[in-house]
Amino acid sequence: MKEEHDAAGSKNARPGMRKLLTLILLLLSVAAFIFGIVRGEPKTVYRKGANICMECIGLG
Amino acid sequence: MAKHLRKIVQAGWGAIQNGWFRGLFAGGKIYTGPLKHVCVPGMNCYSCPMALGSCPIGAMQSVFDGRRRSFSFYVVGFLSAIALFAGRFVCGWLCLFGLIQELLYKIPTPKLKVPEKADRALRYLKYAVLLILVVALPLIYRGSYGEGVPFFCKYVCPVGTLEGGVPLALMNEGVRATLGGLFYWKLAILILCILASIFIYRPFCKYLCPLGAFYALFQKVSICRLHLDRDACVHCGLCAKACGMNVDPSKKPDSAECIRCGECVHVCPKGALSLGIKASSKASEKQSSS
Repeated sequence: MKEEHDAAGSKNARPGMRKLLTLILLLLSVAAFIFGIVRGEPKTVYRKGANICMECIGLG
Repeated sequence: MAKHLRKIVQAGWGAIQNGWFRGLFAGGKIYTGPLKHVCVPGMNCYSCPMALGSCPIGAMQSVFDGRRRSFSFYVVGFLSAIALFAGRFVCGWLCLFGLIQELLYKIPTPKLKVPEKADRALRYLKYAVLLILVVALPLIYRGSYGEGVPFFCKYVCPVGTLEGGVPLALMNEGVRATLGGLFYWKLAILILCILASIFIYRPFCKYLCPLGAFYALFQKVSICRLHLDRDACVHCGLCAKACGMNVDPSKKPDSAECIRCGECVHVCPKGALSLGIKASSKASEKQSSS
């Protein structure tokens, strides 16, 4: 009989649980992303990205 | 073609995310259009004169503001979603600095094998970099004017030096005139990374990259992954030998160190490995045809 393995190779894993966890985390990620947009974080990102980042180029 | 597909994608994506070619002739100015609201998925300095998008690690630190103690939901949510879909696929396929390191490794010299114990210990360094320099210090520490300090960008990031610091110093006299100890410190890190890349496969990705560390956290639950058909695997060891990241896919197909480049998939004589959302049926096809 063919044994079941998860991607990590452990026997008798429950891929359904992993899929559920992935789905929950994905929903949380999307929620966090949208929440960040609502809070206006893209503007902060833009402010930093549209100006020369002195730290990045080594000028402090 | 298939053999070179990844290199084409890496180079193509690098050109797309650095597609503001006017930056080459703008005298050290950078793109300031609306695309800078958005982060690219791989390491790419937003102070590169040609960069169209924002660097996720720099952006994350800029929102982790020392004054407001605010968490970066936008960037962390974006990166988590990508990681949950593809894990470290971004490292293998969409990172320009990764491509540069790979090309440097192609220089024909004797290669260095980092002793296994040291290699294993050094791999944890990137998690420390992520936790301390990208998350903790920018959240906790305030500069003299109450501003947040992007510690990783400021003291470590060789990508910023290569893509931002060096080109801007060459193009802009004002920048060149203000170069000091910090620039030369970061330049030394960049030179070290370049030299190390000639002898070690992707050393920055293995030991230092905080973005790779972030994506690695989701490797075991990502949707797109490396699949192993254990019934088809004959344990020939070719996959482990082909892996530049020193992973043995026949033992740990979802290792946190796997960048999902697919080299192991190409060399597997039995088609036991596949990369994607679902396991491919190559193994059974090969078995039935033999």
